[in-house]
Formats: sequence, structure tokens, C-alpha cells
Amino acid sequence: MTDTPRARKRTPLLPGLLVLSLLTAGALFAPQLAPSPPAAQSLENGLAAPALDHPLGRDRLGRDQLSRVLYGARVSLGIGLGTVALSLMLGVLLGCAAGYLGGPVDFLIMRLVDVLLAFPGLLLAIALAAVLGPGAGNVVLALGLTAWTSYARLARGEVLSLRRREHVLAAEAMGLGPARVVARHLLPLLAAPLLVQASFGVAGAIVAESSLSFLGLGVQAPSPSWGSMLNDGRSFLLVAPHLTIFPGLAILFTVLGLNSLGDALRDRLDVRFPG
Amino acid sequence: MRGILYTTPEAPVARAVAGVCLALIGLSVAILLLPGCNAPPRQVGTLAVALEAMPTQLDPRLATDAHSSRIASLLFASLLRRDAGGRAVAWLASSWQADDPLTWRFSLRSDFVFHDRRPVTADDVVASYRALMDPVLGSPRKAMLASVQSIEKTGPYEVVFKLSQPDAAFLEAASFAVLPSDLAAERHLSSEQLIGAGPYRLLEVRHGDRVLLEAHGDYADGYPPIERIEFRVIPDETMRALELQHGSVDLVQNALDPDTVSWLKKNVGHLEIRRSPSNSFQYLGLNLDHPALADKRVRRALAMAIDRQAIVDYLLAGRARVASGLLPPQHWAHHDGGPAIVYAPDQAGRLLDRAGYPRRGPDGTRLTLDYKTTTQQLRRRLAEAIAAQLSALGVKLKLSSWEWGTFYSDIKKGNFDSYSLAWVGISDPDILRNVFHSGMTPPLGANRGRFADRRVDRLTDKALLTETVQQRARLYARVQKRLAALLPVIPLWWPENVVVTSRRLKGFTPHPSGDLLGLASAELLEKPPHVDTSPEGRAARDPLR
Amino acid sequence: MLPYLSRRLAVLVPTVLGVATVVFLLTHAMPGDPVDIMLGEYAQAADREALSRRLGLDRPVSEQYLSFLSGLARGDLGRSIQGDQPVAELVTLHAPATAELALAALLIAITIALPLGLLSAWNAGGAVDRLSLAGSMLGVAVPNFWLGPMLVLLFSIHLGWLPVSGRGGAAHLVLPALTLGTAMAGLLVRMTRSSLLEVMGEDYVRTARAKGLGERMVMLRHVLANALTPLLSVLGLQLGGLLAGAVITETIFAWPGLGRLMVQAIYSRDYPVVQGCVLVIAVTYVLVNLLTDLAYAWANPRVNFGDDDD
Repeated sequence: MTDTPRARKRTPLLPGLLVLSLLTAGALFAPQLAPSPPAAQSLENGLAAPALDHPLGRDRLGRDQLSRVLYGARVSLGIGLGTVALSLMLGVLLGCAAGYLGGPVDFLIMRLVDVLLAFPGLLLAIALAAVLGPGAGNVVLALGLTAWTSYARLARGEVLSLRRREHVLAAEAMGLGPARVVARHLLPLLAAPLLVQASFGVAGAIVAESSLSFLGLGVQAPSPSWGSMLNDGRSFLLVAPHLTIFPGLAILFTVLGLNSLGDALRDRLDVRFPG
Repeated sequence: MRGILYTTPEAPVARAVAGVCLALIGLSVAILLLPGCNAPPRQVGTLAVALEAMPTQLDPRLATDAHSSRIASLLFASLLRRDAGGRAVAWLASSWQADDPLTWRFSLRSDFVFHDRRPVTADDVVASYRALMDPVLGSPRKAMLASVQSIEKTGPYEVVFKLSQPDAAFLEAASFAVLPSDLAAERHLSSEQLIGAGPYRLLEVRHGDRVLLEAHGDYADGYPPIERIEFRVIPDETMRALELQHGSVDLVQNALDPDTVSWLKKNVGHLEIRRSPSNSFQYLGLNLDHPALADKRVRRALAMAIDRQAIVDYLLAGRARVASGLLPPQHWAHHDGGPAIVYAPDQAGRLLDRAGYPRRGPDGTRLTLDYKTTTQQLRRRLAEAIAAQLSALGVKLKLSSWEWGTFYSDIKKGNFDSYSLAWVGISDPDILRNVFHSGMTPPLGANRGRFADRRVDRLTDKALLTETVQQRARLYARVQKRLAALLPVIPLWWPENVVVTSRRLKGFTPHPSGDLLGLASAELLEKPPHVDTSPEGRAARDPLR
Repeated sequence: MLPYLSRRLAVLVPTVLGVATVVFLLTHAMPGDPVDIMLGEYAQAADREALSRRLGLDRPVSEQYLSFLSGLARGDLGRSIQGDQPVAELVTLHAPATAELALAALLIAITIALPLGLLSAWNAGGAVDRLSLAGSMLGVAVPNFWLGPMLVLLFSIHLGWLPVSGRGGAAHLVLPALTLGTAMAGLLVRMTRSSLLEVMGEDYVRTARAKGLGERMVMLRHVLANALTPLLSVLGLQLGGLLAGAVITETIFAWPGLGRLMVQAIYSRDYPVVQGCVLVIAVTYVLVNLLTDLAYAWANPRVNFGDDDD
């Protein structure tokens, strides 16, 4: 692009990857890294400020915050990845079906998308929690069941624009069934935009989990997630601000890391859609 | 080449810019034009009280939630009300007596008038009670009037209730709101029609936002000194604390985290903490249909392994009393029922060994139980603390927190191993029959643990038919003794009633039931009095802590 | 244009019917009985049944569903179970508060996002760009339930400029709108930026540059305007999300809006109120999107109405 005065520099890949690998390492090696078990209580030391032996302080039940942030990485990243996996699966399946098959199938699926988009997702989450009880699995279910629509729209749009390509038409002419055509000839082309969208999706799910925690619909005690820690700490916003700051920072860094990764991937994979 | 076709797309440019500008201007105008909601600046003489949720109903005949009844007791007078010890005292009635166990006679004061200045007469009382008893209205109060056969006017200021059977808890029903006779039976009452004879009248209701009351100038017990009371709905706990700190809310009752209360006390000079015993009782409910929990040794072991004092000290900031029985200590029918349960985890372990639950497996688990709780933060925290203490004993509690509707439905169905809840606003000891009588399993009563004991059944039945307070107290003492031995629920603590108020509020004493009628005789100063905020000064003012 | 409009409006019917059905099924599938929740410890079995019958809750679910739909067709949303008021009245009472908050938040989001997005795109890849992108992520990653009280601590407690919570005059609107607006601004900055960058790569922009127009002129006359139009439809989607997504901000700031009414009603199993709120939110969402699409079309005559309508 020599004619553009300020040539677009690509977003560097390294920072995002670095943040993410740090977090993954923290999550994987939490048992080795954590100074104490995340559920070990000590009521008399509740709300202790950060100190040498407990660098991030202790919560109301006297549990070590550092250990809980580390173990929380497992839960939060797990929820993020789980949500994206579920919504990706649903979204790609339904989006491809709508885009490729068209006609009444397309109409039905797109009306379903319309209904879900117009439907307050929060109600779905509350209803699911009321029926199944809160917990990490149900958080994934609630978030996944609302988040798939954006993948479906993306997949459908791409399929619509790709399905008249020569190699697709050739495959059809050879008598390949719709499932095969989509799987062999369209999905590979969809992978790049979906991957970019997914990296933003993980960040979105981690933030959304904290909102669900606010409504009491997050993960089940005593397993910590960043969102639930943040929410538990909210009662002590005046009394012990450190209880909200550290899980909050963890979420912030993850979101920053994932977004910068998404940007970097987009620049490299030449995906053109607004993130 | 598209570039040639599209050298300068000028028209869309101008249009887009214009469009966005128009949209922005439109937005600003729209915001300014939206139905103005001009909250008047709070005048001096207005006391602001924060509530956690909007009262579902201000109609006293139909309302059941605590927020509604707080407001209702300021709006509507009743024949009797309860003093701090739970005893009935006169209000609309000047005197009352039982001619015989089936006949209750109430004489009314003649100086009470409704907010519309009409006098309160026997006709109003009769109409109010008949409406409550009429199935057409569908009042939830009807059940408590089940023993009432009729209510008749025997003079302009005298009414007589005829009962079909002796009912010692009948006086509970004398605290129902009295409405003007022409409104008492209306199917729907608008907020303008909510007229009572209480110290305040309803000025304005804004759904989901606030309820504004104004002093009733002709109130029989004297013009209330505080001109207006504004109940504001503030659902978030942190914001309630910040409103107090800001000075824009003057009273919050039992709706702050214990640590936040301590923080406010220490850091905000214009606030004051008022504490009193409450009529509440927090317990650990057990399902006696569970094979392990059916064994009273197991129940006792669980009770002995919970360090209730530590939980009270650290998680409740000491603002509760470890319960040594069921009914709160200030209640007239209270009886400890025997030696208090002490924290003795080792003994508890031995008890479980003997009951057939030794430590098993690599982690030494004796028993695994479900524990259900609501999504409320403090409740979850308490559950986690109890779970940690019991896990030291080898009893694994699997915690799950449920949204209230599901939780309540499960508890009623007996779909739980253990849970924790509180009895709130305990007034008549007949609650013991409601909770522990074998015939009172839901939906008939609140015996959720499916407890069954013939002696408790007999004693509670008998106490209901007994007239004198002394005799009843003796019977309930025996009930409580029996229950202390069998432990169908594990008593946890009696929470205190904790009210954080502005120092401008003078002469207000919290009521154990949380009732706010005391505001009718309290005063609101324009400025807080000068106070000594040094630790010594605080200690001198607040002997409780 | 007219056939397009009628087609869009026709699609509205199955969408609303779908939403109505989903909300009905969902609320009735939740365990918990409105009458139990309402009566609490007070009532006895007989009263409970009487109340159930009065509220029509003892009828088979299919019958309740049909009467809900027929009520809907007549524009009747029913009466609240808990508060005994007409649902339409409750919704009308709460809707202005939500609209006020959502519009103000949108205004704040646009005011923050447009300049930042422009700055970012102008310096794409540079330090300013990185900083503004990271800053915008702050808006996304900081939860409203934390940001709200922090803003209150700063502006109400320490500086004493603004009221803490509640709905009132313009001063009451500032903090909740800021809380809600910043989260939205975060996304919008990214959208603006990528939308601008996309247009900057278009041929006509290059041509304009080649014709020797100044960089600023190019940016202003060609890039900005063309990038703004797709943003419009994004804004529509966002505004729709704000209606229901404001629940947390409404809760924090004691804002008597629709979101809180809905959540309260879910907790008390007040089916008619939940259904009413969800329907109003859904219909508003669909209409707002239709309007933004129309505005988009008006601003950008190249839109082909024969295209599919997603």
C-alpha cells in the first residue's frame, strides 16, 4: 500500500500470545503455584490486606486471594473456552445449514436467530439457573445458547458469498452431498473469520460470567471464578478494596490479551469484518 | 474499475453527516423531553429510608412482604399492636377482654380519625374484619381468622368477636389494619383509597422507585414530628451504604453487610448504629427423611461441630447471639430447653463413630449431604463457613445456591438434605406447632423437615387451646425442652436488629420485629448534633459494643 | 422500498410470536409457584387454592398459553400477580426510565467513541491507536457493578457533585449513563476504527487522494461519512441490547426501569409481568433495528432493497 501515507502496521502477535500463555500456565500449574489450597479458610484472618505471606490479601473467609485468582483462571478460562466451543458448534452448524440449503431451512433458522436476538438473554440465564441450579456448566450453557447467533450470522454470510465459487460448484457437480461440500470445501474458508470471532468471544464470555455472578447465577461455591470473586468482593468495596481489584485486573488483562490476539489474527489472516 | 465509477460519492457524504448530526440532536432532545421525573430536592423534615425492594402491595389486606408491612404499620392503625417484648398493647382499642374463651370484647377509643378525618368506629372494624374473612377478597389473612365465627358491633365504639373454638393465638389477628367501612370490601384499592388511621398518610407511590408518606395531622396519639417519610427502593447493598455516607438516606434497617456497618460506624461521623434484639431466629434445617439425619445422634454431632461463636464473631461482626434455644430470649415463652450445645468437634466425631458413620476412604469422609442456600451473598458465605467446619469432622456438605423461587419450592417439597433459613418476626409461640407438629408438613404448615413426635404434637395442640399466658408458657417450655433433646433443627443464632441512622434522627428505638412505628414519635434535627467522634466518645455512647 | 418495508414488518409477526412462546414456556418451566412466593408463611392450603383459582393459575398450561395469546392479540397484557396492577400500566411506568437511560448512554458512547475511533484509524498501528484500543477495552472489561460504585465514590462522595442513585433530574442521569455508556463506547471505538479503515482502503478514497485532495479533506469528506453509515446499524443493535442489558446498571443505581421490573418479576414468578416486559423489549428491539436499517438506507442510497433482510 504505497499510496497510503500512513501504512497500516499489523498488530503484533506477541503481547496477546504472551498474556494468554501466562494465564494458561497459571491455570494449568495452579496447584504448584498457589501458596495455599484455594478453599482453606481462616475466619479470624478475614479481609487481611496484602502482605508478604499473602501477596494479594485474604477474602472474608480468610482464603488466600492469590491462590484463588490462580485457580480462578481455570474456571474463568474454562467458561470462556466452553462457551465459545458450544456457540461455535451451534452457530457453524445452523449458519452453514441456513446459508447452504437456503429456502425454508434458512427462513426458519433466521427467525430463530431473530427471536433469540430480540429475547433478553438474561432471562434465559436466570431460567436455566432456576431449573438446573447455578454452576460452571450451566453458565456455559446459558452463555453458549445466546452467543451462537453471531457465529451463525457470520457463517451464513460467508457461505452465501462463497457457495457460487468454482470449486464449490465443481464439488456439487461431482455429486457430493451438502454435508460433504460444506465440510470439505466451505468450512476451511470459514475457519479464519470464525477463529478471529472466537478469540473475541472468549473474552466476551469471561466478562459475561461476571455479570451472571452479580445476579447470583455464577459458578457454585467454593470453586472460584474471577467473576464470582469480583462479585463476592463487592460487599467489601468500602472495607477491603483489594478483594475486587485483583480479580478485576485478571479479567482486564485477559480481555486485553485476547482482543489483541484477535486483532493480530485478523491482520494476518486478512479477515475483513468489524470486530 | 469501481474507482472510476465512484470518484466522489458526494451525496451520500452530505446525507450521512447530516443524518448522524440529526440523530445526535434528536437523541439529546428526546432525553430532555422524556416524561420529566422531577424528584423534589429533599426538604428538611423528610426522613429518607432505604428499602431493598419495592413493596409488592401497599394494600394491607393483601400484602404479605416485609417491606409492605413496614410501611403499612405507619399508615394503618389496628386494634392492638405488639410491644418490644411481643406483648399485645392497645392502639385503636382502649381495652379488651375475654368474657369467656369464645368471646372477645374490644372497646375502641373515640379520638381516632382516618386520614380523611372521618372517625374510626365499630362499623369500620366490623367491615374490615368481615372483608378479610370473605373468600371473595382472597386475603392471605383469612387463615388466621379461621377460628372466628362472627364479629358484631355491640355499641358505636365496641365490637365482639365470637370464636368457634378457643384460640390462644387469636390476639395475633387483632393487629390487622382497619380501613374505612366503605373501602374495606373493595376488590381493588387505588393508592388514593389506601386510607387508614395511622400516624402517616400515603402521599405518592412511584412503582419501583419510592413511596412518600406525610404526617397525619389528626393522628390520635399526637402530630408526628417528622413531616415526611420517603421510602426509597435501593436494591444494591453498596449503594445503600454510599447513600448513607452521602447523607441522602437517613435510615437502613438490617440491609447492610455486617462489615460495612462496622466500617460506616468507624468512618462516617454523621451516622449512628442502633442495635436491639430481634424477633428472628436463624437455624439449620435438616430433612429427617434422610437415613442419616433421622438419627438424633447425627444431628447432635453436626450441631457440636459447627463453631457458631466464631461465625457470629467474624462473619456477623458480633451482631447476633448464639442461639441456645428456639424462641428468642426476650420472648415471653422463651425457654432454653436444657444445657446449651457447645462446640466440641472431637466429641462430635465420637458420636458419629457410634452412630455408624466412621471415617472412610482416603479423605476420611463419613457422610455427604446436600446443603441448599439462596443466592444472597451473606447466606452463601455462611454456608461456606459451615461447610468448612463440617468437613473437618468428615461430613462433606455439597453447597448449591438457588434463586429464591426454586429454593423455596424445593424446601417446601422436602427436596433437600439441609438448608439454612430464619424465622422472622416471631410473635406467637404457636409457630412451634406450625413448624414441628407432624400434621403440619407443607403445604399445610412449615414442618419442612418432616419431624414427627407425639409429645410435641400433643403439647402444641394443647397450648393453642389454653387461655392464660402463664399456662401457655409452661406448656411451650416443655415443647422447647423436648425439641432441644431431639434437635429437629440445629439452632444457629438470634440475629440482632441493626439499624444505621443519621445522627439527625432523635428518639427512635428499633423494634425487635423491625416495625418502624417508632418513627411516628421520633424527631429529625436539621443538623446532626455535635458529636465526639474519638474512640472514647464512641465507646461512651454505645455501650453494646 | 415499500415492499421491503412490508416484508420486514411481516417478518415481525413470527418473531413476536416466537418470543411470546419462548417467554411463556421458559417462565412456566421454572420451578416455584407465584402463589407460594407471594403468600410466604402466611396462608393455609385452602387460601392458596382460592388464590390460585382467582389468578387462573389452576388451569392447564396449554389453556393459560392460549388465553395469553388471545389477550396479546387484543393488546391485553394481563394483570400482575403480585401487585394486582395491569401489566400495561407497570410497563408504561417503567419504560420511560429505561429509554432515558439508554439514550443518554448512547449519547455518551457516541461522544467518546467517534473521536477515539477516528484518532485510532488515523494513526492505525501507532502508539495512539494502541492506547485508544486498550482504553476502549477497559470499558468492556470493567464490570458495571464495580464501575458504578467507583464513580459514585468519586463524584458523589468525594467531590459532592452528583447524587448517589435514584431517578430524578439530569444530575441523577449522569453516573448511570456514564457507567452504561463507557461499556458501550468500548465496542463502538473498535467498530468505528475498523469501519474507517475499511473505507480508507476503498478505491474511491485512493482516487480522491490521487486527485491531490488534502489528507484531512479526504478523511472528512469521503472516509468519515462513508464509514458512519454502517455504524448506524451497529448502533441500532447496541441500543436494543441496552434495553435489557441495563439490568445491572439499573439495579446498582436504583433506576426504576424495565430491566429491573423484569428481573424482579422473574424472581417472584409474576408471569404476566415477565411476559409483558420481554415482549415490549423484543418489539422495541426489532423496531429500532428496522428504523436504523431504514436510516441506513436513506443515508446510503446504494443499498439494494432486493437483498436479503438479515
